[in-house]
Amino acid sequence: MNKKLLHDIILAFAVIIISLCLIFILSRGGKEGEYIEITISGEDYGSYPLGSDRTVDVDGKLTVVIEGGKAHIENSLCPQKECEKCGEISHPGEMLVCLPQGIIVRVCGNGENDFNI
Amino acid sequence: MGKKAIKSFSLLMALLLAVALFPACNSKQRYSRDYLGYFDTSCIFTAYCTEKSEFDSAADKLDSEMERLHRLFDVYNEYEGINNLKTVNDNAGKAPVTVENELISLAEYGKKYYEMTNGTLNIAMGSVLRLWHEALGGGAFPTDDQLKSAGEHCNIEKLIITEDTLYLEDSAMSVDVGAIAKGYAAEYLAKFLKDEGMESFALNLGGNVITVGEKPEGKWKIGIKNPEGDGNSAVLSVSDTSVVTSGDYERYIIKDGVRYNHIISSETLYPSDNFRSVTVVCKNSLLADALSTSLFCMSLEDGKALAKKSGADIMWILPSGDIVRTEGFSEYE
Repeated sequence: MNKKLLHDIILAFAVIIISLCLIFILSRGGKEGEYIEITISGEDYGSYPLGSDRTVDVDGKLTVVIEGGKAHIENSLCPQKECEKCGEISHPGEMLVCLPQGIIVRVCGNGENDFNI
Repeated sequence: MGKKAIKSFSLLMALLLAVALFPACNSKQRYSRDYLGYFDTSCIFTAYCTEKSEFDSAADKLDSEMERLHRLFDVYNEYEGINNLKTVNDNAGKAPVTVENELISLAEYGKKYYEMTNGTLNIAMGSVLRLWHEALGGGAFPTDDQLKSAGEHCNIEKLIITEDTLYLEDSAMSVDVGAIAKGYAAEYLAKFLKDEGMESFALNLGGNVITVGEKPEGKWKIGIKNPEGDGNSAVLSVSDTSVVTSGDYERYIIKDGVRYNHIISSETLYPSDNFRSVTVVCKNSLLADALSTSLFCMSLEDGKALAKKSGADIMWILPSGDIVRTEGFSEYE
């Protein structure tokens, strides 16, 4: 077999494998399984998948914005607005806390379910 | 450059193009919206759409429809310009009330399920439910005497349905459709969304889930909460199917160390403590809702017979934590 042809075949296979990996990574979207859990004074307020953009009004006390697989707090009624300064969270276990209002926003893993009832 | 090098270069380009275009082929995005003001619970609408505007438009229309149904089924508030169930209850013993088709249909289903469950599901026990509703809202706890006397005014035969009116013959009775309203709404709203052109969506009306079509990556996954603590007791994979759970952990009060949940037995007039939760899987969301409430208030034996008769698949979680399933239920796990 021509050496050049062999190289071409190897190259073609390499490209196919890399492409398949890319397709797999792109189609997974990365954030499917993770979700945000919000509690007020320890009481469950709601759970929301991190994979879909949305704005959650938390009992009129503050707003949790989920955007591009990350979550942050806006429009908090607390005096110091420390919670708005915490930035964004996106990994399981990370949390945002609004101490004065007793609100915790947490990223949870293994939430590949659409709903838990 | 040799011919073969050009060939493989072209191949490389073609594959890169395929990769670049892949997300476009699979471009349906997931969108969700919450609704906190309806049916005394929180509702979520999740759908896969090509455009956000497509989702927003459907979600807005859904909002109006949900509000309309919520107002019709409301037994505590009146709204200008409509006759709802409060109007019907306020006119008990006085006069028939002209109502929308949806209320006639809901009342007819109420009677049908009363027959099917041998009276376990009774939409005419509003007088009893009102007492528990107050207690669960932090008000006074009902006494035995109060419950007994309210229980004397739950005769569903005295709910008179005509083509366009509802009438309660007993002035002390009232209708409460809490046991089937969310199921009816889920079924109705899913049909509404299908008519709007939605093909892949799920609605969760406070534990009453209806799924239509599949997600791009496959079936919908519904976790059934473990009543004992964290996590789920089961995870179901479904499409074009409804899943409804009635549990004692959803809404309850604790008095003198005893837990009182919100699912009231029509027989004892007290919260049923036969199970921690009952999950029903079947095509029709209304049937699923009616069954989950009734099965929660029945013995396991009677429930198994009803499950067989209805063709639905059931999972019962007993107070001991033991789980009992019908044969078909495991196929969803």
